Amino acid sequence: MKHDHSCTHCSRRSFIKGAAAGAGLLTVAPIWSLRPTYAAGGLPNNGRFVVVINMFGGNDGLNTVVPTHLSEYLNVRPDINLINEGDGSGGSGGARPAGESLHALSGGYELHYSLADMGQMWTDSELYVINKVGYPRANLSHFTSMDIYSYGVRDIDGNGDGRGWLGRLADVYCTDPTDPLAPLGIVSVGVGKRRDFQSDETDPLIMSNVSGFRVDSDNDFPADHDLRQKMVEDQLAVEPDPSVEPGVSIQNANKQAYDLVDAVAQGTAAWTDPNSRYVTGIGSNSLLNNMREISKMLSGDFGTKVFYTGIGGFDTHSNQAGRHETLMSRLNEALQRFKLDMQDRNRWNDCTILVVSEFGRRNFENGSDGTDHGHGNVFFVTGGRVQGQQIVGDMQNSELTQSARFLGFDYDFREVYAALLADLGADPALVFPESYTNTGDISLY
Amino acid sequence: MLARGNWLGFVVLGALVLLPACGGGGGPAAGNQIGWSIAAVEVLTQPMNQFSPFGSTAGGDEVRIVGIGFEPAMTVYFGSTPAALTNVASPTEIRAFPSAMPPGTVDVSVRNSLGDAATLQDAITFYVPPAVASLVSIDGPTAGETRAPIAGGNTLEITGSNFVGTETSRIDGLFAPSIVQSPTIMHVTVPPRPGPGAVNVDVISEQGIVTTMLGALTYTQEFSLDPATDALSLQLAQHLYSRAAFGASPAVLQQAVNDGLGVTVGNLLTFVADPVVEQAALDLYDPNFPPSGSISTRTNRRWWVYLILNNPNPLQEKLAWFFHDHFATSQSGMSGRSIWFLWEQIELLRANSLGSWRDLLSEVARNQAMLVWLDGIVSTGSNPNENWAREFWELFTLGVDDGSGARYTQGEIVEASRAFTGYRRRTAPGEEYHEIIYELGRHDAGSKTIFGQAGMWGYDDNPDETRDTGNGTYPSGGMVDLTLGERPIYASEFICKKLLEYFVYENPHPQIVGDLALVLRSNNWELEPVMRTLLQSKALFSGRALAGQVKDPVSFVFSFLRTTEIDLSINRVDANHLAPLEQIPMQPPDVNGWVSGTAWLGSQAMLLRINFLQDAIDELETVADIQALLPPVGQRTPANMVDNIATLLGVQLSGSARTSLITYVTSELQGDTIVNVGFDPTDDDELLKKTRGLLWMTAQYWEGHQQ
Repeated sequence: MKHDHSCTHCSRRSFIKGAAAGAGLLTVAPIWSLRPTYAAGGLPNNGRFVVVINMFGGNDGLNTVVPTHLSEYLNVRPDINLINEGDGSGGSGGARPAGESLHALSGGYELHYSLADMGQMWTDSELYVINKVGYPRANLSHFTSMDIYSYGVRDIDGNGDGRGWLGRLADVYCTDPTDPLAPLGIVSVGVGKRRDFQSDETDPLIMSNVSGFRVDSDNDFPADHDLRQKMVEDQLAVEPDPSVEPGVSIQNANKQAYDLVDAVAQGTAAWTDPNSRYVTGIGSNSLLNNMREISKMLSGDFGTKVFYTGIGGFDTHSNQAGRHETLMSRLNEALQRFKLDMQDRNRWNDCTILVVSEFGRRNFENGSDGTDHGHGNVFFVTGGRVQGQQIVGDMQNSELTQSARFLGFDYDFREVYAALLADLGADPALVFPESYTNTGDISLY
Repeated sequence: MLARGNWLGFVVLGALVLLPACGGGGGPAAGNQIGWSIAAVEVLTQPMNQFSPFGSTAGGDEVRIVGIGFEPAMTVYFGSTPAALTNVASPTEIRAFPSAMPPGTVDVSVRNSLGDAATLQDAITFYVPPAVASLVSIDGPTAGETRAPIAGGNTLEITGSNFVGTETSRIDGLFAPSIVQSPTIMHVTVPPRPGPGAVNVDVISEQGIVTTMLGALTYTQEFSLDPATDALSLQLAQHLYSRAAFGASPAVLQQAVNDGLGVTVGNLLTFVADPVVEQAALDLYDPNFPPSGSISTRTNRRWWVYLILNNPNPLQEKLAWFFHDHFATSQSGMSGRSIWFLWEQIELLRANSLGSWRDLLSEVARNQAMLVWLDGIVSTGSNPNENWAREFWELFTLGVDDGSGARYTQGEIVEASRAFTGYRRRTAPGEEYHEIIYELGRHDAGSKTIFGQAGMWGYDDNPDETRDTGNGTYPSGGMVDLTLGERPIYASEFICKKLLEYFVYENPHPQIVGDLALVLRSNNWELEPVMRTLLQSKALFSGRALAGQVKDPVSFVFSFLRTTEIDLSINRVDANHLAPLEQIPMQPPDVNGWVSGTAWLGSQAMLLRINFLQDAIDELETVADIQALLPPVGQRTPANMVDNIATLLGVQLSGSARTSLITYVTSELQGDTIVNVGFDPTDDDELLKKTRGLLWMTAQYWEGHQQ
């Protein structure tokens, strides 16, 4: 299912801009910060930022935060449970390698054995665990479920406006037309232009890495480089036909690229990694790579409020144990190293990290030592100010049976997102227009 | 919709208020000394005319004045301005037509030749009407034209001025859902109409002022799968080759112009394998073919990229690329020699892309790479794995179910996953590598109920050697046949919509999707007639399609290379460009394939594209390389150098862009020397680089105006 609103989206943009000059249609008054280039102009300039990490493919929450106290968990997962030792294949009785141990949280829940550093974050009261996150009327399709998360709307066709939740955030808070750095208010790192970023007004920056964010033109003849780049920029500023798609969108992306290329290069030029936080693991751990790029962007002081990144490979329909172990190791390593780096830079207290996934998996293992699609899933929140060592979303044996199929949800994902947005000073109601159940249970800070 | 609702509310409110005021008799100016008076004023030519005393500042509305004592020689005044025409129809009624008026509310008076007047105060208001200039359909089967299907549903874009956001519109007298997009643009959804014909389109201001475009829209029963005009301009030939191929060199395009559309499409649809090219591609493969041991993931790509760049049957590779995105299978799920399975799958797509959709599905379902990728080899009857069964319907044949179960239900996915059992992976006898085999014993031979049909469903066309005809436990029918047979509309519309979105434009109108789906069904699921219809259709050459589409990185990169015939090494394309652009053939991100359209646009992606252009252009290392791009020595002018490169790339430069580039040539390329004489051999290096600069700058327009 594709929801392409590109045509109306860009025309509407130009209209709003035209009208706003005279009519004051935008309801959010700019709050002038001390720094004229502060990107998210509508939000308090307090340095706080959020990093969203998406585990694409549907993480197996029950093998991430294991309900060791529930006997049904063992019953439905005879080969891939993490309580018993084994290799995760048929008849092995379990998937926990010899010598590895789970990391206890509370109430019988324990973390995957590869999440040792996250276990320490729990001990240090910095890890908040939310089980059974989802949305009404579970949808087992990856792509529909991802869309629901991206748009922040359960009833996409009925209540969606074609914008992603971060697109709406950008449209409300990152719209200062005099600030060329406004797109830096929200930055996608290494995961492309997901629908989360679809906006009407301000296109969030979609990037993959800082070092490649430049114009190469004619390396062996630099004398002409500036002249040519200037010519192209000048022309692109007045060129293509402003009324026809996709020329408008291409135009906007090109313009943004040229607007930002120098700022990003100059702002991040001084970044170094003196303590080698990102040295080990680079190459195989794409998530750690992306976290390094986030660290670079933070060094530019662009005022970014939300970074969005992710790691794929969680659709573990078969032979899950080894694959899941690798993915958990990467998550653990990326979080730990980013945390240390943020502490080095005195930014850990500004930081909140949210770990999400489009759905959890089936309670019971299938015949191929994997798990099929499910629903309710575990989210993690960590950060310097997070009041952790808390776990919400309790489970019962009756929810884990084969006939129950998969976990439902206790917490609408938007309640979690809203808690983080509120901490940034944003009004969640402007970002999530559809009503959802808010339990009020989640107290992160 | 909102605009319309507000407008209706306003009028009704106005009517309630104004009715007693107008009907209240006489008005305040009915003096005793004169023998005539005005009872009421109406505007007949505006909507809700019975109660809406509004007129256009353009003049010309018909105003009805009722009262008593009117005489033939009297004149109507709007404020202090006499009416353009006053027609006293009877002692109790006058029809008057205002001339052009300034905006505002004025009195209406009826005067005799002496200037005595009966006046109704504030009786009529003149408003500036929305000005309209033109309209065009921007989607649906008549995109780019002023036509609409009688089924309605397409979107008209009305261009004008002074829109304030509350205007609405009527088509053939019926209110139509309207959204004002900007002060100059309004979008209207066309309502259905019983039959064909030309109709008026009205734009109506909030106050009710109507501006009419007489006969501006034509309802038609024709749809744009009709064949387009056979004559091809160079621009249209470029467009055709940007969709049906990865671009084309000037010589190929000129041939298409000479041949016309029908012959060109016929040639595109006729795949004649070039044994030299096919062998050269295989030579890039492992020396042993098929390989006997482990291969690298790059091995498969070298082979296919060579074909994409060199196959003289370009549609074969474009369609294979389309189906690869559709059946998105990644070699990242394979290892060792099994990586070769992806070669098999791509070759399967190359060989069957114009055959039967039924056969293609059946082959893909049993392809070794797919069986590994979506867990077919681990799904067993006793414990089925839903991965393949779900995606077979959701992503490959029917589309996402809307929750109603009209396409399929979760229960049917479980039943289908039992049907799709029987394959397993084993070590090939006497070898060290894996192969995939079918074993009847692994197949769940029990009855499954799918789409209301109970049967021993299984894979289509199971390998004969595994069939046990003795006890009749082989499947009673194939899942592909069952799916296409029981869900023919969903199945045909799903793939046809995807073809239209890829080759023509996004969000095609349901009517044209339905029409193309009918072509597929009525040709027994053969794809060739579908592609023939599509590539010759008016839709493909409509304004909407010609407005362009955002190319995915693979199409972007290879179209530029095929168009310019620049020879960039395959490994360099692979590692330096496709990887950072995040589209590595045979490694889609997941089974849903890559994103499409504007989702590819992002700041870094644009920079990477620009840098690719630079890297490719840097390959032009000799004067001879560059000379080939320019007009002959002696005939060069700065202008025709620019025009030549623009034509090569299929770029339409605006006047200011062309001027800038000509200025660059004149000043930076020291016009006289190279333009008239050719390159100065003593200064080749600088001139070469600056000419490359010209190409690079022009290529930005190619990037910015993609087709």
